[in-house]
Amino acid sequence: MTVKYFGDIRPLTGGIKEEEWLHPEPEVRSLLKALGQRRPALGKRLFEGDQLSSTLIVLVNGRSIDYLNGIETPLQPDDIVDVFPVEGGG
Amino acid sequence: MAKVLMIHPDKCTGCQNCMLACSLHHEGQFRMAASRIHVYTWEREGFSVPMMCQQCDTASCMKVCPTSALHRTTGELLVEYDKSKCIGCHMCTIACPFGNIVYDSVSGIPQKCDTCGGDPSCAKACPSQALEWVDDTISVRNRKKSYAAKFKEAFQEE
Amino acid sequence: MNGWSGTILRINLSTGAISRQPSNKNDLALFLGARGLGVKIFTDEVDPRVDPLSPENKLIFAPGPFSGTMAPSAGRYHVVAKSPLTNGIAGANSGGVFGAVMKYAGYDGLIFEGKADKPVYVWINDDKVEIRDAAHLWGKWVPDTTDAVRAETDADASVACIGPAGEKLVLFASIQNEMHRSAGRGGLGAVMGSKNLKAIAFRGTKGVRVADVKGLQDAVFAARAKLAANPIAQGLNRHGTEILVNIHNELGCLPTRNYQDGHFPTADKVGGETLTKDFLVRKKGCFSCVISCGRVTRVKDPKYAGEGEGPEYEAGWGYGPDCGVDNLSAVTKANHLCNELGMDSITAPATIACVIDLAEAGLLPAADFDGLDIRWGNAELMVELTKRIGLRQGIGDKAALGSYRFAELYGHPEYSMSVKKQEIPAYDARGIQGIGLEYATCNRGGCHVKGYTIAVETLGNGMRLDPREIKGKPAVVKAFQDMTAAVDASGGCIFGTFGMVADDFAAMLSALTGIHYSPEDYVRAGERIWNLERQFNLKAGFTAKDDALPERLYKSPIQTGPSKGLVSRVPEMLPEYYSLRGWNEEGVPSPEKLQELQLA
Repeated sequence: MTVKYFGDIRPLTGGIKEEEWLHPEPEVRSLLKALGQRRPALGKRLFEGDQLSSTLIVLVNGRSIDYLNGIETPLQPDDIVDVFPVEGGG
Repeated sequence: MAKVLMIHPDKCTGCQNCMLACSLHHEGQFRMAASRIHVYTWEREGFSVPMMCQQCDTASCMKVCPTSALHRTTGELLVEYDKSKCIGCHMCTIACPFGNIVYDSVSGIPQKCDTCGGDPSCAKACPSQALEWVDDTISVRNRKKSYAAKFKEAFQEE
Repeated sequence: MNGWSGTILRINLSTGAISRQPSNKNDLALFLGARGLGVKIFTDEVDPRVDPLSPENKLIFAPGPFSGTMAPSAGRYHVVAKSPLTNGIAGANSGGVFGAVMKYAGYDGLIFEGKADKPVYVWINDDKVEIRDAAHLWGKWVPDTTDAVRAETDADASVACIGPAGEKLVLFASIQNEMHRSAGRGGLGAVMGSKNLKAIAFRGTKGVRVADVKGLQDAVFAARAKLAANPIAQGLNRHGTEILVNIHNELGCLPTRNYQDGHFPTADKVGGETLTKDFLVRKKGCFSCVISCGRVTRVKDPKYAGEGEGPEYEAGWGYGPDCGVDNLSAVTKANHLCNELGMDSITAPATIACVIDLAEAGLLPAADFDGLDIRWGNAELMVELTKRIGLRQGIGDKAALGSYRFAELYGHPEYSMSVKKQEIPAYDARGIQGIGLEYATCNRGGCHVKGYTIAVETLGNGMRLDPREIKGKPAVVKAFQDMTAAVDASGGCIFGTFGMVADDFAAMLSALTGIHYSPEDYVRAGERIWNLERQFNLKAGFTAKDDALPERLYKSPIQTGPSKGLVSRVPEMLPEYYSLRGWNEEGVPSPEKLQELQLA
């Protein structure tokens, strides 16, 4: 699965905008936890305790998880997951 | 430890919140000439600088003031203004090399920064930390002075 | 008077007569100022059938009660006239410092009537008002005009002016203040040019009085704290509005190639992250702003070198994905040119996109190409065609009419992505339903900003609504439209609404003016203004049929990307929208609604 990072999330990955995650995760929660474990700075940004940070927008194949199954949204191996900070208007 | 008002022009966005806060604090209304801090903006370069009294160690305004209306209490950093002694001669506005003391015709007195009694409204109002009320250390003072000297060259007050 | 200045200045450019009248206190109380006061005066005095470029049109500038005060991000002014682009009411909002300085000079409004027989500019220095010769300024671009006017008035004067685009009556010419800030949409610069009015310079030394100083200070700092804690306001500070490119592209709702599609694979190259990394010099803030979304930008690529402000998301989209271009240097340069020539940086690129679309479809004869390589993705074309439009040269002369009239000249108006002949901006309404309803119903034509449901449909500001859903959207659109009108009328910037709500604005307005406004009163002022604008448009000849998106958005689904297959469902939402607004099925306000709003 492909994970893409945007806005203020990018500095937390050392500037990586996009990566292939080769260990397919069953759902969004486990994917984000795994990403956070790999990069602790990112992990701190992604989670507020056990909950997904309220200042994130996560898309799976261009659909916000708010309208899928939230953090339990299931994932397929060829899905694209976007991690956006809540940031910006105009 | 005494405190000084530091300027960081690179962070200034030209919003003038400092002027609004200063004017509201001193006069209870929003009148830009009542502000003791002024922001200058150059649109082509997109550069803005806030300017106010630097409380100079060797203050020119104090030197020329005939009545010591402008004076410094020993040991304090603030150049104070005593309205009861002021004769309105305007010598201070001529002497200040930075133009940071300005005569205001509406209030009838020369205006300079008084640090709002040790709690500057401008620093609280600045949304981008271009103004900081910080401890007075040697390094802080040198930076402030070098900025001030640059800007006396950089802009002409009439 | 607290909050307001108390005086309206009227200048008749035909006769040279300058007169003052006291601001109508009832109008101020009901319509607040800026957009509200401008619309009230305009609709009282101008025949809706007037020719927008004739001397009978009036041009009204008005700050709001907040302008010139410490209300956060609220130092704006509004310009009202009849639009030569839409032939409906135009109202454009601008930041910078001009609005504050108008207040300090002592004015709640400035009305221009008639037409000067030769180019003039107006110099207003507190109570002193002069109409001065501008023959030597005519032809100057915006930055040079600003400097020249200051040189002969006051070095620190706030100057609003037109560039060559306004002089030559480009139908979407803007009025620029502080060089880079824009009263952009609707062709108000052309109205100003049609009056031979080149510039207005203001200097003001008066104060804005406050009824309840402590109350205002408390309300201001409470509001500022909300903005400091709001992630969108803070995001705007860090990256400016260009940060929106990627989210909308990833959603598949980034209109691409004149709305042929909704996804642009190389969008990241023109996104806010890239702008910050490679082009940003420093951040800029308008008067009293605590957000500072302004971007001072420099292009290093020698081909497109220059400095200025922006691009904002809309211009970045317009010159970027909408034209198939992913060269941010060219996009930034083209945006700088819009500011320098004085043109709307949404309509200009959206019109260019239409020109390209027609050319690529074989509907533009090669003889009319004006020697240009008109095709998708041509970065140089962005800069060159913008210049030709602003100066009305070659094909630019026709493109200066806007996309609708241009496409109509070639027999295919359906290629214009516009509503009421004003181009729709950077959110694909096929994938985001609520903003489509805003586009269709906005009183000033295709516009996003007067009913910015994007905040909750894609940006996650507090509430999160499914962009693809139509259920509940009419109520959301109405709520945003009413609130925005009230904020516009106060002199506020709508970016303040990312953190502040009606309670905050009402508290500040009450403390400032000494008149008690509940949050409901505040929003109702906005609803009142919206209905007054609607009435004017109906009398100008608009009907419910004009509340429609281009057919492409109903009939041609998005072709690629995550929102592939979607179309706009605005027609399904309109009946509920009219009903919620208290309008009949033809979109006409009912007598009861008008009475309720004190408009009857």
